Amino acid sequence: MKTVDQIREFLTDSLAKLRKTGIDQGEILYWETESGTLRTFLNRMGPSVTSRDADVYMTAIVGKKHGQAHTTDLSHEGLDRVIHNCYENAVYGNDSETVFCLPGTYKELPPFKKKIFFESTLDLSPEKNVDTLHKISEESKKNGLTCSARLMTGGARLGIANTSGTFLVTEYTEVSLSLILTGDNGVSAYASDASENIEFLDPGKVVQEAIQNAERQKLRPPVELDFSGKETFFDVILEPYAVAEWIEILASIGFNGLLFEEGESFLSGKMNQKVVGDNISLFDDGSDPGGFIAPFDFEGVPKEKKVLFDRGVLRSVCYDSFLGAKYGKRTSGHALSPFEKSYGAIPRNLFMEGGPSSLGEMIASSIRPTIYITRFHYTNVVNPKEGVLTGMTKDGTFLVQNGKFSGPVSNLRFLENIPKALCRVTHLGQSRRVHDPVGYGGLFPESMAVPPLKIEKVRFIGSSGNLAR
Amino acid sequence: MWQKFSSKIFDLARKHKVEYIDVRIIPRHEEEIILVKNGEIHELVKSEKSGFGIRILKGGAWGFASSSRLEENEIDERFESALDLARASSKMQRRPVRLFPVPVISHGFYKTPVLKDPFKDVSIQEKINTLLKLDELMKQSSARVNVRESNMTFSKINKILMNSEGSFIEQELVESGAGMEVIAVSGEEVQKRSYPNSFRGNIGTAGYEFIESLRLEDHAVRIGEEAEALLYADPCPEGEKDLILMPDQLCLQIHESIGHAIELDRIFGSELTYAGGSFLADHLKEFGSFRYGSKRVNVVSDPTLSEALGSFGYDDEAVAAQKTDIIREGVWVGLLSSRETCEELNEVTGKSISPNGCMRASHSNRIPLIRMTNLNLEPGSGSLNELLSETRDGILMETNVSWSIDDLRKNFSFGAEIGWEIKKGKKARMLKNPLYTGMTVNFWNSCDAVCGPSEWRSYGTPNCGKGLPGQAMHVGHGASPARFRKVKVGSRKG
Repeated sequence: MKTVDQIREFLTDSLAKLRKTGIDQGEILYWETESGTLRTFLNRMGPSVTSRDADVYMTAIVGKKHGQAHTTDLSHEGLDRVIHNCYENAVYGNDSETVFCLPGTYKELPPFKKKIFFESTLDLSPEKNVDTLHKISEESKKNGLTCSARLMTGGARLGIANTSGTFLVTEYTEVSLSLILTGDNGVSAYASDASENIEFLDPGKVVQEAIQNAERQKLRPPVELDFSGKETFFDVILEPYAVAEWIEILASIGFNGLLFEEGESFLSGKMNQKVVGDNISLFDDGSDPGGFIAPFDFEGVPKEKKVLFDRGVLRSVCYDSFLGAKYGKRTSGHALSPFEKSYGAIPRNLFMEGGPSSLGEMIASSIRPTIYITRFHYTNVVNPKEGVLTGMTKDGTFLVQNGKFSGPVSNLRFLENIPKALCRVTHLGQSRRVHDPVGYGGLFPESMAVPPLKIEKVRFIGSSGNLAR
Repeated sequence: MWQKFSSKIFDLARKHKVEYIDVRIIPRHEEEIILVKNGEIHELVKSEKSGFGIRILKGGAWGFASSSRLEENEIDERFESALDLARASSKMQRRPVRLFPVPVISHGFYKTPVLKDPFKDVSIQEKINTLLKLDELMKQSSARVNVRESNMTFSKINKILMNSEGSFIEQELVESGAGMEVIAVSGEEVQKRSYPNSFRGNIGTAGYEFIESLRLEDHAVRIGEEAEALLYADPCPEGEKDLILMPDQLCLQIHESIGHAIELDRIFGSELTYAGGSFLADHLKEFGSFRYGSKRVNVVSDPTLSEALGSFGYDDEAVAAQKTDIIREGVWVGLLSSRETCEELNEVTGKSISPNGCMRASHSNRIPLIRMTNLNLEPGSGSLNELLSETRDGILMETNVSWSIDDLRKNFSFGAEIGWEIKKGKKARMLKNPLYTGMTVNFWNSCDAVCGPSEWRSYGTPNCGKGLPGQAMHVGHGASPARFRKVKVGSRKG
C-alpha cells in the first residue's frame, strides 16, 4: 500500500495536472484497500481470499458542467488518461441550472476520540486467523453444532484533495467476525462482532453468544404457527441485529436527501414533524467513538453529529455538496463513495438511543404470543414512500408467551410499515454496535449502534413452511 | 506480453509444487456511464480498471490473492499471499478439494459479436443527445411527472485466463445497456414506471445496436402517462387470484426462486455466511426426479445465447460455455456447478455430472464462484392475447419493483410497478402497488400456461449479489408471459 506521505505526494501532483487542463474546479480521491477474508462452512474451509485494490477517482467542473473519471492504472500513462477523460467528460452536454462548488477548506482533522489504525489488524498472515476459526469450529462441535464463519481483516488509506483547498488523508483498519451455528431439527443461530483492533475482537464471546441462541432452540420442541392464507399480527422482540437491518434500509430511503427532495421518501415534506414514537431518537455521527470513526466523507467534509429523529420528530436529512447546491442546502458530510454517488447521500454511522429494558424484561412482559427475532434475511423496500419493508426472519426465531420462551418457530415473512411500527415501540434496551460488512467496494468505516426493541402488532404474511434447516 | 507476466507466476508455482494454479489477468476493463436526470447530466463517468488474480490449490485447499496493479513487482508478494492462504487453510480442510478433469483449452478465444462498437462508433455527445431527447419526451408526457431519468452504460472487458493444466483463453466481452424511468407525484401518492425494465433498464452482451433495438423513444411518453394513471388507479385487491406475470417480472422470479436454489455451492452450504443455502440440499437424493414445477415448466441455463447478459465463451476456470437443461417438464434435472462441486456431487450421489461452465468472478480481484449464466424459462405456445382470453378472473403484473426471498429460497414476495385486472378474458382496470407472495415449489407447480416464442423476452440482471467479499455479477434471464393459478396477491401499501 502507498504510505500516507506517498498519497499526499500523489494527490499534490495529480491535482496540479488536473488544474492544467483548464478546469474551473477539480477533485482527486485516492482509495486503497487491502483485506483478507477467510470463510468456513459446516466446519469446512471455504474459499478464502486476499485482495489489494487502489482506485483513483477524479471530478472536474467546467462552468456549469461536470464529469468524472476513474482508474486503477497508476502508471504515468494511466494517470494522464484519467485526467484527460475527466476533463473531456466535464465539457460534454448541456449546462446545469445549478452552480456546483466543491467543499473546502478542510486541511486538518480534529484529534480522533480513539485510535482507528492498527498495524496488527493490517497483518494479513492467515495462520492466526485460521487458528481462530478452527477454535470456533471446535467449540461449536463440543456443543453439537456445526459452524459457518467469516473473518475479515483489513485496512485502507483514503486521501482527498480539491481545488477549493481541501487536502485530507486518513488510514483505518477493521476486523469483523460473523458466524452461523447450525444443528439438528432446524437449529440455526447467528452472532457477529467487529473492531478496529484485532486484539480487541473476542471470538470466544461471539461464539458463546451464538451457542446461547442455539441452546435456546434445542431446549424446547418447535412450535408450528398456522399461516394458511391470512395475515397475522404479533408483538415482536427484535435483537439489535434485526433492528439494525430495518434502520439501515430506512436510512437509505428516508434520510437520503435525494429521495427526500424528489418526493420519494417516506419523510418527504415531514421536516420538524412527528414521524415515529416519542421514544425513538436517532443520530448519525462518524466522529463518535461508540462506532467506527469515519473522519470525513467522500468529498473530504469532516463528520459531525447530525440529529435525524429527536424524540420522534424529523430534524434533518443528508446531503452531499452536489445535492446541497441543487436544493439550496449545506452539505451534511454524507457524500457516498464515487461508485454510489448517483444514489444520493446516506447516513452510515448511525446511533439509536436505547432504553432501560433488558431482553429478559421484554420476554417477561410478553404474556400474549410474541415473536422473538434474532435477525432478518433479504429485507427489501416494498414502498419507499411509506417505508414499507418485507423480509424473512433468520437464525433464531422463537415464540414467547406467558413471560417465557415457548420454542423455536419457522422463519416468518413480515410486511410492515416500519415508521408506523416505530410508533408502537414499548420497550428499548441498551444499544450495541452492529457491523457485519459485505464488502462489495472498498473498506470504509461504517457501523450502527442500536438497541433491542419490543414492538406491538407487527404484520406477518407467511412462513417458510416448516422449521428451516 | 502476458505470457511473460504469467510465466513468472507459473515458475513460482512449480517451485512450490502447488497442485493447481490459475491466473486471471484483466489488462483493460473500460466502462462508460451516462445518466441524465430532469434535463441535466447527473452522472458522466469513464472508468478504466485492470488487475490480476492468482488462485492456488495447495494441500487440498484454496488460496487466492489479487492486485489492481498489473505490475511485475506485485507478483512475488501476491503469489506468496495466495500460497500462505492455501497452506493455512489446508490445516482446517476436512475434505481436500479435488477438481473434476476437463479438456485443456490450449488456445480459447471468444469475442462478443458487436455491430457498432459503443466506445468507437458512437460519440458520447450522440449518446447524450439521445438521452436528452428521451428526457424531453418524458417531460411532455404528464404534468405529474416529477422525476425523469434516462441512462446508458457500456462496458468492454478484456480477460486472459491461464492455468497449470495448459489452458490459455482470451475473451473480449462487450455490454451495452439503457433505460429510463419516471416518477409521478400527487400529494402523498408516488408512482414509478420504467422501460425496458426497472433498475436502469436492460443490458445485453452486444454493441450499440442493442440500444437502438430497444426503441426507447417509442416508450418514453407511454411510461409517463402510465405513471400518472397509476396515481389514480385502484389498489391491487387482496386474495388468491390467477396471476399472469410479464417477462420483466418473471425473470426475477426465475432468478430468485430457481437460479440461486440450483447453485451447487449453495446446496453444499458454502454461502451460509452470506447469501444463504438452498432447500434443494434436502432433496439432493431426488436429483433427476424431484418435481420442481408443472409440466409446462422448462428451464435452461444457456450462456451461448446471442445478446443475453450472461453470455460468454468460457467460464473463469476454463470450461466452455454450454447449454444445460435445469428443469425439464417440471422435473429438476440440472445444476449450476464447478469442477470442485461436481467432484463432490458425484462422490455423494454416485452420479457422473460434468461441470457446466458457471464459475465466474466479477473482476480480477474476486475469486470465481458458481454464478447464473442466462437462466431462461423456455417458451410454450400461444400469444399473450390468447392467454388473456383464457383467463376469467385474474391479475397481470408487469415490471419488478421489489423482491425478497428467504435464505433457502422457499418463501418469496415480489412487488410490481403496475397491475391489470383480468376479467372474462380481457384486460380491465389498472391496479397500483401490486404484490404477490408464495412458496417456490407450490408456485412453479401452479404454472398452467407459458406463452410462445413470439412473446419471449430476455433481460439482463447486472446486480446479482453473492460471495464475501461481495461480487455483483451480470446474468441474464428470458421468459414469455406465464400464468400461475391461485397465487396470494395484495397491495404494497403499508
